[in-house]
Amino acid sequence: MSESTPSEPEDAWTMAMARAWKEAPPPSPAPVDANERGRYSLHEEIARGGIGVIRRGHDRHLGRDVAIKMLRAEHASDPSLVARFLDEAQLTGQLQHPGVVPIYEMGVAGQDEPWFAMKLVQGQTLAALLKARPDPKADRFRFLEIFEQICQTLAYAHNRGVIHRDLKPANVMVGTFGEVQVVDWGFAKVLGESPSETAEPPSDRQRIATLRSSSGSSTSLTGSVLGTPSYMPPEQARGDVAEIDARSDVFALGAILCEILTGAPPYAETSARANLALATEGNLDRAFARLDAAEVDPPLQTLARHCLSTAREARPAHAGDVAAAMRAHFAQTEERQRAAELSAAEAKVRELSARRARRLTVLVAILTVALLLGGGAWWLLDRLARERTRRERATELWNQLAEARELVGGGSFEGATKLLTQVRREVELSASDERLAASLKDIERSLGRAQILATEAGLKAAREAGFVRSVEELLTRGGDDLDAEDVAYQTAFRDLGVEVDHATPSVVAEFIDRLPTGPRAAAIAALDAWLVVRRNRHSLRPGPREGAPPRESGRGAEPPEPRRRPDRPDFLHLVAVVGAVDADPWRDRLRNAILDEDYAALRALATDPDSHRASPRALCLLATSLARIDERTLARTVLEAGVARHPGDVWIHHLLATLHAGDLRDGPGGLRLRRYDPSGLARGIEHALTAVALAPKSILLRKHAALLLCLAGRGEEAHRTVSELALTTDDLGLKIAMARASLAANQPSRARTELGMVDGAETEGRLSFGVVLVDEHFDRLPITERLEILEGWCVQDPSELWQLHWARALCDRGRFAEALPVLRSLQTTPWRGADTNRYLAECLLELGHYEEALGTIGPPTDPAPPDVQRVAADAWLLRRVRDAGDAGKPPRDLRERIAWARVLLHRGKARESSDEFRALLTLPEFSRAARPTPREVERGRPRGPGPTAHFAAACALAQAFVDPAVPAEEKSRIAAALRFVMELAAEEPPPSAGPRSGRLRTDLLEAWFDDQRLDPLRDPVTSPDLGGEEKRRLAEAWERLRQAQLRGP
Amino acid sequence: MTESDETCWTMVLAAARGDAPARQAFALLYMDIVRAYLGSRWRGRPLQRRTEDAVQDVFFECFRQGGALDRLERDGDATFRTFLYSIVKNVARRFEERRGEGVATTALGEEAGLLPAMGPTPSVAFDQAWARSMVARARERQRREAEAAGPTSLRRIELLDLRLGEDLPIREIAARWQEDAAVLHAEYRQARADFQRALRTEVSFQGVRGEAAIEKECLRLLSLLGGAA
Repeated sequence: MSESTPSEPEDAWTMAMARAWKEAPPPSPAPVDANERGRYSLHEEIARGGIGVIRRGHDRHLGRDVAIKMLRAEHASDPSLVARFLDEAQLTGQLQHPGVVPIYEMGVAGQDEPWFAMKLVQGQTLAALLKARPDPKADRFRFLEIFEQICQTLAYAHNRGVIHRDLKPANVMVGTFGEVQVVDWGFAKVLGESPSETAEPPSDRQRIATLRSSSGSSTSLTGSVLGTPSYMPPEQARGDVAEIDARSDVFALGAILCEILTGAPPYAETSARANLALATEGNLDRAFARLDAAEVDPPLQTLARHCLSTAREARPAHAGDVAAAMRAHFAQTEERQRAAELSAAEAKVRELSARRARRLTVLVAILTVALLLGGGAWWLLDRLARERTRRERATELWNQLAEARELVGGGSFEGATKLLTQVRREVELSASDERLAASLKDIERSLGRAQILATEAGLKAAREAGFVRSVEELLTRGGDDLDAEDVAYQTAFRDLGVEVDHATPSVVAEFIDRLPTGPRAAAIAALDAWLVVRRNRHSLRPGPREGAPPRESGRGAEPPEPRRRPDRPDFLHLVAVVGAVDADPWRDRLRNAILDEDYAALRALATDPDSHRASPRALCLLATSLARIDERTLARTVLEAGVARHPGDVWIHHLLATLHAGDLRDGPGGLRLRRYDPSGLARGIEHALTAVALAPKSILLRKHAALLLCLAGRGEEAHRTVSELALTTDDLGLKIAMARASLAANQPSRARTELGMVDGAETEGRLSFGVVLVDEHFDRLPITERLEILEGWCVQDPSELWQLHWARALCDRGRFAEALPVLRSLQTTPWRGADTNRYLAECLLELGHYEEALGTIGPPTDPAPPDVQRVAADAWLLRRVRDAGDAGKPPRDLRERIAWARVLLHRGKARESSDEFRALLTLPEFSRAARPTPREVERGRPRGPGPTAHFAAACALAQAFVDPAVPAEEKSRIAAALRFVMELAAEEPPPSAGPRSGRLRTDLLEAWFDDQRLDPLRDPVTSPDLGGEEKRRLAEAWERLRQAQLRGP
Repeated sequence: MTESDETCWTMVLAAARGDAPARQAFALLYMDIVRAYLGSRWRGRPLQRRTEDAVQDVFFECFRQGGALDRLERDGDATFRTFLYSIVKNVARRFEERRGEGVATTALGEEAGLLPAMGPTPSVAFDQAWARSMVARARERQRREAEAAGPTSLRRIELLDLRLGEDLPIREIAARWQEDAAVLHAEYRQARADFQRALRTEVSFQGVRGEAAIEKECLRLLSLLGGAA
């Protein structure tokens, strides 16, 4: 919104309206599925006209692409436009001519959104082709041929009493194979009985009828102007509906001819209004001047002028007349060319005879003439050379045609098209060799047919490949939503081209039988899995499903009661379908065992000698079923035997990987494992990598392998497994897997860069970034990195979730004063809860607000998570020790002494606090690491007071160190104590006890550099008194910490 | 009963009595709002796939005898927005409980499932969808009224669309239409007034009472859209 004038102040309402306007368009009248019309799924928009929109559609039943024309939503409430739209469909549907796009079906979506499906014409509009010409003379013959076909189509329509009324190059489609079709009959009209409406009324037998014509009503009212002004006859421009008839279309034909000949339509002003004015007047002076100036055959010029007559009585009465005139023109042209060729041939024969008769004389004459008139000899030689070139060129063209024919046969359509285009250009230029032209046309037709067949085969192959992918995804997905899974199977088969639920079993069997081996095997596997899904859907008790918590197995475990098979028709139908599709007896036994939950039969099948001839898919089905009843060992045995017989089967390897290492589950943050078994990880990786090697393009298999490799700490290998495919596909999960691999390879910045690529996908990318951030890897990042990331996120996205993470990280860094207001603000949001309260309480504690901390977190006796209880106990202890201290009661034990030192620190008495901590440092129980190694525990060494106490001691000592009131000699003692505390921290064992221990260590390490309270000590300006030796030892302590951290577990 | 006497309660009560057109109108009016709330709340969670089931449940809950509607009649003074919001929230919670999914677990690792908070929060999503629906209905109402009033009024709507929808300055529209800019300014003012009246009517239809409250609610609705929230 940029305009603001004194007379138009933007008040609050206007500004708010301006912001809101685009976001709240008026509702569309009917809630219909925007991407479905009948059996057609809708895709991208192809064209848009005044009242309709055309989108590419896909006929799911016949598997072909179509064009779907729909009335634009804003016109759905206009009965006249709806009627006009329906008329177009009915009328076009009744015009059965190669020049009219065939209509397949019409329907109404919702309550009043009509649509119709028609053939999808692949090609360009005549308007685009005309525009692409370098000049009006280029390709003129071809365009005249197109024009003649338009005339033929219109002649057919006029014969049936239909006039188009909006004929123009933009409404003529020229297909890839040269077919010409007149489209957009939206303004067309069926001529009535009135003699004024048609010069030659059609016979009743031929008459087209629409609802509108049969009801006698007309949506074209006198005075209304329809059509495109540049091509409009005067009567139409005036809106004189009664005067519009076939001759109005003839005018438009003249206008198109004018554009073909001169490069512009009769009225070529820049604005439609100006063109309409010229059209109303019938002012064709400029158009005629252009025609006169154009170098065209006079008959064509005459025809164009005749069609463009202002008085309709002066025009040809019918498009058929124009077509006849064009045919006559072509015939004349051909005649002229033939005559020219004949005379040329005669001249040549005469010349050759004369040459033979007077060879010597001529030779002498030529020599003489050559001597005397060198120019004449040159002419003759040139003539002969030209003739030879022509013959050579013709031979070359025949060779090119032969080559093109071979290319068509070999399926190289692009090369063939190029060659044929060259030949056509030559043939059109010379226009002499009829045999060549006929042969060219013949090969062009062959090319067209071959391309159509190849396109159909390609579509079929693409459908089948898509089906195999869908089935693979379904077989490995195993969600909890059985309804959704059932629909997914239906959809997969429907997309393949068969409605399993509606076709008879024999039809489905026949369809699947015709599929190639791969899709056929996938179809059988899908039917088997679908059968189980449908059984479970209809069963009262949810069946044991892959990924569900394992039931107790082995001795003593109660086998669950088998369920009855459902008697629902859709289930029974599917059973019949599967029986018809795959009658193999072994697989039949397997299916029955699964459907009847006959666990004994399943186990028996696993050891059945016949199982050696089972297909890999059937073995996978058996293994999956065994795994579901918790017979994972037996399932593995079946597959291990299977892998020996089918070492190249991808899915056996994939399933073995899951059976060894854990079941795969998909989630918003990518793949995860359920029932993870570290002992089977190595074998799982082996099989997962074999599967990848067998099917290197499978995204799922690569993600699976990467996940297992990450778990094994082989981050770089995991990264190599997914990175190439992740960079070339749009699969979000794969990109997340790549970033995870980078994190596992200890490359957080690379992970961020990789997720940054996803970030382009806005919300989804950010979502995945968030998923990775909040999972276990994020906790392992150094606090500095965490803070940096979160700070950025809080700026970009001030949502409460990131505020929470930000506040926590601030606490972890010791920036409690900054964290406090953030945590307080979260108390009024859904993010308040035990964990947020704990952070808030810790923050309050560190700032010395013990009562408020206790009020926030509750007394330590409340049932609460251990972390919360710990903080509550700490708050309670600090308050008690503070109160006791204030009452003059000294602390009783080590715990209370540490607490008292912390109270002093919280009160800003750093010097007293550091004194207390220095005294504590002399005690052996204080001066030991928080987490003893397992061996030290075995030897009975107690754990130290913990990093919190050491950290507090370091803070107190650091603050005392920078206190100007502290004398210099005491400062050196304080610095020594500080160094000692830091060394204590460095004694902590590496973070092998889990992420928490590693994180504490990291925090201490980071705090030495980043905690604000240690600023004075780090800053050389404010810590000039620190001795060189202490500096060195402090630096050493820090370095030891850092090295230990880098070594990792 | 004339339209001006009606409130959404009239429609809701008729729908609850089983009146099919009222039910359809109700669904048309509120379906997207309910869907927006549930979509936001369950984004990235397995429950997302159950959104449509939950939408159905919300409508069922609105109409069933002895349900929320009956209880509300006893309370009397709530706006419909509050009523609908509470039902949607309850239905969502019920779905979550049924699946054993908690609402707002705050342990760090569990938040992955609650990442929908990265988009608008569910309540903001609900409010924005509500505002979008109300403003869209007001625009539809304005158009209906303009159609009844004649071409001059329709032209005003076109003017409003060009000015606010296409960001065209009045002087440019005036040049395009070959009209006097001062005349168009006056028409633009009138068009805005027409829209304001339409939006006030819609807000009043939702049970908001009192001039000041209606005015405040109108501005609040507008401010929720266009990134100004």
